[in-house]
Amino acid sequence: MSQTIIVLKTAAKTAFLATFLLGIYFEIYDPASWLDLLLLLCVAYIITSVLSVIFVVVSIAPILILNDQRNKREQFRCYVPYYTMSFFTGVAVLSIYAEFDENIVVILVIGYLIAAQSWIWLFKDGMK
Amino acid sequence: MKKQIALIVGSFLFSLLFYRNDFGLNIVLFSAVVLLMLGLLKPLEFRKRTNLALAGFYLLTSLLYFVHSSSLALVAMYASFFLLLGSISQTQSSVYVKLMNGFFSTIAGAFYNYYNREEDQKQEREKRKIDYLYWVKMIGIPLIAVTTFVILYRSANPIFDDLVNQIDLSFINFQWLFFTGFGYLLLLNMIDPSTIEPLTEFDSDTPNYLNKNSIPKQSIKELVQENQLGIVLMLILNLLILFYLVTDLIFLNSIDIASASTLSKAVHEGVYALITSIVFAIFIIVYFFRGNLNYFTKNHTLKTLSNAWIVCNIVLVVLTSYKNFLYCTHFGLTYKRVGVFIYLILAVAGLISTFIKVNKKQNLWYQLRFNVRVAFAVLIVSSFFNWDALITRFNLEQARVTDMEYLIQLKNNSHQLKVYADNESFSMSSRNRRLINEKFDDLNRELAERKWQELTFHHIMSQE
Repeated sequence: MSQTIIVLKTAAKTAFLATFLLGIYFEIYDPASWLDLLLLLCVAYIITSVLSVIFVVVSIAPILILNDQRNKREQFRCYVPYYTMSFFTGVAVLSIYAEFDENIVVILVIGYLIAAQSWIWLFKDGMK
Repeated sequence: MKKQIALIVGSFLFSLLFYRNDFGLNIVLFSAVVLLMLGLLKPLEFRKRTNLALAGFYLLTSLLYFVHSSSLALVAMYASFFLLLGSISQTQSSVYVKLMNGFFSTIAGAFYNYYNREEDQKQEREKRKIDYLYWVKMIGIPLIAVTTFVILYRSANPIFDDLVNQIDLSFINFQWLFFTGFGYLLLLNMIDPSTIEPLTEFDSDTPNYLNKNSIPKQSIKELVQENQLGIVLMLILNLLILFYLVTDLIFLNSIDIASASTLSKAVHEGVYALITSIVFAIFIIVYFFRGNLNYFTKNHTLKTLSNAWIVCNIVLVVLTSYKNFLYCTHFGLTYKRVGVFIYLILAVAGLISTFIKVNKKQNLWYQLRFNVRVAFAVLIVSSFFNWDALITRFNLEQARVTDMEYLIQLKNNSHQLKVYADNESFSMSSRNRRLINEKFDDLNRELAERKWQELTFHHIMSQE
């Protein structure tokens, strides 16, 4: 599988997870009608997809594409700890700046969780 | 199975303690839950003497947060917790590596372990296929049966119907489920700590001492020249710092203590001078003693001058401490002034580690390990004090000038200020008395609104 496809596939999964988790938190699964819900989910998925593609392409994919000296497992073990620690520190700092506003903290935490999960999807796919 | 039960129970407790609650008693209870889980699920690692001591520190710092509810105690609690997890994952590592491993385990241990496990078991897993029909039967049939029978029994028995109606599941909502899921993930990270492998391997392969064989070779001529340069530089710097210390002593003798601006300037500039001097001192000494000069037979003069410079810097620390002490006794304690004392303690630790490095042929990693250990010890010790109460008591009883507005801004001193305002009603401005009364009323209001999970020792004592 080409790396572009792996990256796009990961972005699509990331967008799905983000939409699902944000939907749970903001309780969008209780709309007036199923048509409204479907429409809402479609719009939300389009937005999170665009954001996910940008996010995965900018922050994770360069490590996968540029560092071809090591195998994927070594890359994962080498970069994931520093990536997650930096990302989480960013989340903590932004939460402090936002004075722990519940909505902002939840969005940031969901962002962090899907970023960590994206690493697994990206580095698991096409490893055969 | 035992692990899953512990995790599910733990995540429900996490929700019960923290869902939409501030920190308080819940911190102590959660630390007890985490320690219990680690003791049950990681018995071999947990029973090691170092880990038991760190578990004690973790519990102690969480109790300190309950007692003082200070941010410092909270930071100390997080640091102890990260150190404990880091130590469980790799007991032999340095303190800074344990801290990083603990932090990483807490935030992403489960993801990391999941990926590694998946890769290890990939082939084995591919052979195994999930029997979906079995799981549909296992979950679906009992669910349908239970629902049907509950409907039947409700219509047959009014007492049963009444009891079923009384079950209040309104607390379960999507947000609560999300929070509980987050608690599950957090506990999963904690009970199976992982390590940052490249860093941990590097740390265990790096000794504290210099290795003569790994240092690039230099000719005798180069060494003699470097030694001479070091002697000249150290001699000049020693003379300069001696001159500075003498003038500083003269200044301290002639200082007008009543003048706030002079004393403030002396303390602040003294600290700036100290920071610059110590950073330069350590940098220059470490540069000269980075390699071959450690083993050069004619390095005695350079070593003596370096030691003298370190001693002069320690004297500089003592003089700055004295200036800060004078400043505090006259104009009261503040967090910044306490911070200066803590910085001075750390500066002395940095100088001592440099002294040991020079005289025992240690390397930079030794210094890093030594300094991080001291910083951790200082953090733990300083979290023992309720600084708000200490600052308030010192400023009201010892300081010659009291900045009442500063004291009113502090968090845990409402009771002390109220007692003081009631006793000193003549000497206090009506504005300050009003602010103190408002602060006291706010505390009582907050106390009445707090849930049991959010209670602190301070609140319980205030209630009495």
